[in-house]
Amino acid sequence: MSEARTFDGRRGAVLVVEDEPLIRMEAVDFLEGEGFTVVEARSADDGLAVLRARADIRVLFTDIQVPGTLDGIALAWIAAREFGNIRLLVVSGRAAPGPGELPHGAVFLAKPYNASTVVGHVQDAIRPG
Amino acid sequence: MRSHLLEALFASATDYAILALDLAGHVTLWNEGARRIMGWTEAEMLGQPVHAIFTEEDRRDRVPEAELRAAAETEIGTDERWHVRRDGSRFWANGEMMPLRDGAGTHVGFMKILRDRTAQRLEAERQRADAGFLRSVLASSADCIKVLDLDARLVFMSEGGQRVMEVSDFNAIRGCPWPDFWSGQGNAEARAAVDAARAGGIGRFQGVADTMAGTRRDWDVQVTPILDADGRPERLLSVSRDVTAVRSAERALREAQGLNAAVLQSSRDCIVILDLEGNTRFVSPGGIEAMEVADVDAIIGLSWPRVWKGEDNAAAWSALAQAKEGGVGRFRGFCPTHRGTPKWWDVAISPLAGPDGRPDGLVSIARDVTEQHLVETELRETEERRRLAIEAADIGTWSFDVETLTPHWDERCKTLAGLPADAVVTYDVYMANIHPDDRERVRAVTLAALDPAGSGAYRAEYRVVGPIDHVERWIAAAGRARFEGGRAVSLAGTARDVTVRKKAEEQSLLLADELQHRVKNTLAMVQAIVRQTLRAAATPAEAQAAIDPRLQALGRAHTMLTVGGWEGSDLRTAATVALESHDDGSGRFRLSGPPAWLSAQAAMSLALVLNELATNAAKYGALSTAEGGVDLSWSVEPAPGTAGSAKLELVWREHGGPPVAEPLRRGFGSKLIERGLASAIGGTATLTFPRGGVVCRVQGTLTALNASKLAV
Repeated sequence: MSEARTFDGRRGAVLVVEDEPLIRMEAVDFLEGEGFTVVEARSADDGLAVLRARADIRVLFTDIQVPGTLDGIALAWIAAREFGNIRLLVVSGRAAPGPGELPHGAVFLAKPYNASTVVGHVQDAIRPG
Repeated sequence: MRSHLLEALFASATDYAILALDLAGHVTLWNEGARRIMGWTEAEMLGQPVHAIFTEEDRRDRVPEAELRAAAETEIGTDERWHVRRDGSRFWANGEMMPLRDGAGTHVGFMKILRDRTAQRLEAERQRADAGFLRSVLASSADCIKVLDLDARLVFMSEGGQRVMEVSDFNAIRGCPWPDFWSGQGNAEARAAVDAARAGGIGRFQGVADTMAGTRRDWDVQVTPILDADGRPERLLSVSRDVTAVRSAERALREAQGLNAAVLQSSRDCIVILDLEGNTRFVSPGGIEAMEVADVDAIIGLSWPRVWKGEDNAAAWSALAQAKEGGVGRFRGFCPTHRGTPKWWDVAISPLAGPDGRPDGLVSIARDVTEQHLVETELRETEERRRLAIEAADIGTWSFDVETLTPHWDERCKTLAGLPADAVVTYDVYMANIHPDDRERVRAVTLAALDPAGSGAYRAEYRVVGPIDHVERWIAAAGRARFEGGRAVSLAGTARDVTVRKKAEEQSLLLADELQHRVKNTLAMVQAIVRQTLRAAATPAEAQAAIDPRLQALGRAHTMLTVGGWEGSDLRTAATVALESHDDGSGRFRLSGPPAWLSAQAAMSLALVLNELATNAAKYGALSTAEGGVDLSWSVEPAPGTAGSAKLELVWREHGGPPVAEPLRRGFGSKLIERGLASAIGGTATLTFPRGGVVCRVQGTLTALNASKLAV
């Protein structure tokens, strides 16, 4: 289940993977509020389908604990392997993953996270339109 | 006349059977004696062959014919043999057979004369048998049996006697005076014994005499008279018995008794002599000391078993009974000394044999084992405590031989490891048993313990996997290395199953992690609610008014889900809880629908959505008037194609409120409905604003998991 909301899709999009509707909604809102194109998915499996279907995803913003066969970490690894130039933002309410558990360059953010920090990382990867 | 005389002679010779035969052996004459001895009458026998008087075997061997022939050739034949009477019985006959000749000397027949000598024959046989028996008795007796004449000269010595006296040729000593074989005191006693026997009495003495070969022996001698027909001593019988072995045994016994006395005097054991009833007769000096007895006389005569109390009393009586039966009774008992010193004793009671070999008393030997007993008891108790502790704690003990790399495990260790009790544990078995992820760690800890530079302490918690049951268990092992000459030689210690604790630890870690996740997630939701509210609110006051009921709705949903273990909720329950604060109890909400299980996330979303709908209805819709109400209805239908899944359709329909107009701006509520709830149940949500009342329609799927929950 994914749905794209494009304000300006020419410069790349952000994929938000989060199963909790309220939190996902808020993430989408504040990223869209900053002018980014945001695609949302409620599971890593759905997220992977989006990644493979769309070439414009520049940032993967994913929760670790999501339903389905993959979790957020697995999705991050697949994204790093298959789409090298993608910025990885991984969040969780649980303890931070140990060294080496995340792909090189991935950023971990603890829940509840600071929206401006997320925006900062996304801005690094995408220049908003 | 002459013939007449002969006839008379025939007739009167009744002790003799006289019969005449013709040349063919037929009877021609049969006298009265023949009838008496053999039973046939003359009339019966005349003309009959003489064979009738011969035994069957003689007839078979043709003895009658041989006898006739012998008589004819030699003029006279003796005849000593068994013959047969008319009644078939046999008699021993002593007789003669001679030829009869007429006046011209012509052989005309035979005459046979018989006497019945059966009684004499049997007597002779008996005497022969008696003499043979006597000879064999004399020969086999180990005694030296001698016959002396009245001058005490040797006349006869039995074969057995010659053996024991080591006589090679009796003739060399025949006629020698017997008392001269004895020297000193023995010679005088031998003479006295001969005198006594000669006087018709019995002479008896014990003495020492050498055999003919010079071997010194102890003898027990008896001399008795052999009486003639008139009852006067005719000869003397001397019977000497070799008692050397008996005397030496007696000497040994005397020496042993001397030794016994010495033992009795010097032994530190408490030696008590008892009568068969168990009364004290004697107490050894060592016993008096050991028992701290002040007055010995006071304990003589007392019943010894009564000294023992409680269980020991029964043991004492039983040991006493055993000794009376000829055995040895043993027991260990407690008996304080006369001064009250507590003491433990090892007691053995044995019988004392009387002259007839039957016990005529008992001896009790009690040894003070107090110190030993206390040590043993202490050891036993320590061992028992250790065993109990190990059993109670499920502790196995093990050791590890560093030299041979051989583990030694007790049964409990094997049980802990999931190995059968008879399993042979080698180093490889031990290593294979450890969970692969823990092996290196255990190896490292072991090596550290074996390091002579270290403390020798070994402590490890690791998982083992049973080779048969494949069950994973947590083992806590602790031990210590032993060093010899600067090298570790062994490692030994205990192991116990800490699976329960480990699982509990894992569980509580899991719970802590889950709680952390939930709290953080909830904070993220609060953050989202607050940010959404602030973004939509025109003023801080409006934002504040909106935030409180939203967080309260979140809180109630939280409580509901926590009660259910975060496994989700029945739709009706979730709806009831969400609408609780908006329900004034006047039946404004009508809920209808079948049981439908929602995941925790869907239930949470529904609760927040219903809160938004109810809040809006209270402000602008059906709940803002006294008459208005809400119908919340839902239906569940099997989803085509997806086994176990179900289609859920939920409808919020307001009625009785003021006329509705579509709002100009979509608020948090509608966004939550359209983007949140729809997503949570994987479906769509629409919010419409007909004039009669707001309608919210949600369609989605209850997953197989959630649908199956209802069946439970």
